[in-house]
Amino acid sequence: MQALYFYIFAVIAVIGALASIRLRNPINAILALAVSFFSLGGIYLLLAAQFVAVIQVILYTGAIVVLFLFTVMLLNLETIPKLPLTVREVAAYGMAAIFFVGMVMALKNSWSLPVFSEVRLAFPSENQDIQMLGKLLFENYVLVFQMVALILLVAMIAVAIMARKTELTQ
Amino acid sequence: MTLTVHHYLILGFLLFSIGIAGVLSRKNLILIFVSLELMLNSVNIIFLAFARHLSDGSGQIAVIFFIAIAAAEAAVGLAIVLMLFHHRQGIEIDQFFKLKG
Repeated sequence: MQALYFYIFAVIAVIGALASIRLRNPINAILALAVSFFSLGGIYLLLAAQFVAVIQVILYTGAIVVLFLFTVMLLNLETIPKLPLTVREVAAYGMAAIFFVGMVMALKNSWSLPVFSEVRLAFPSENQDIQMLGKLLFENYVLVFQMVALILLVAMIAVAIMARKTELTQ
Repeated sequence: MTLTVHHYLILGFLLFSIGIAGVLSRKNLILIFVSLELMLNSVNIIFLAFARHLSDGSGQIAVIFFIAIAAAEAAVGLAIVLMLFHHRQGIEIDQFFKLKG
């Protein structure tokens, strides 16, 4: 049953990803990315990462994608015209295919390792996800937490300065 | 069929390759950012898959931090895109080939 859910979510995620790199209207491409992110949230639930799944839906699809959409609407981007396949696109797809084959080849010695076929959980019990995450976050990784908070503060100040209203240069 | 880590790894690799194809083939700067976010998400899947199959919760902590950093990076990147748009009235990367403004 879990395999069925995995394949449904995986197919939707891949189709959304393919659409987001090929659609010519920027708004449609970003919305295809949002569909892909939603199904990735479902896959995170399959991996028993409930908190991360919720963060993915709220933060990624609910804030970052919306940020992209606002920027596209602010800049009033137009639909890209339909052109035949350029050399740049063919080279890009070829390089992506080479990367994919290379990465799958890197797995070839590990297909039969038993540690990768057992079904386990990241935390001892499936219902303790948030408690254990909080324990890890604030005991082992508290310095990283503070640094990421500092990074977010710096990013906010940088964006506030960069996106100021300036005089139109003529 | 039980799901092994390889299922999630292949999915992560596939999304990463699709992201690479998008980053290299798109000409619009914002659409390049969109493909970059796809690559970041594929890395999240791989980290969560290993966190589950190696019974280590640090993978989920890493993914939380990656999502936060990706949000900060997207905000700063889009602010830079806005400034470039005001400066050059266009977002195609083909027109940004000179370092001197």
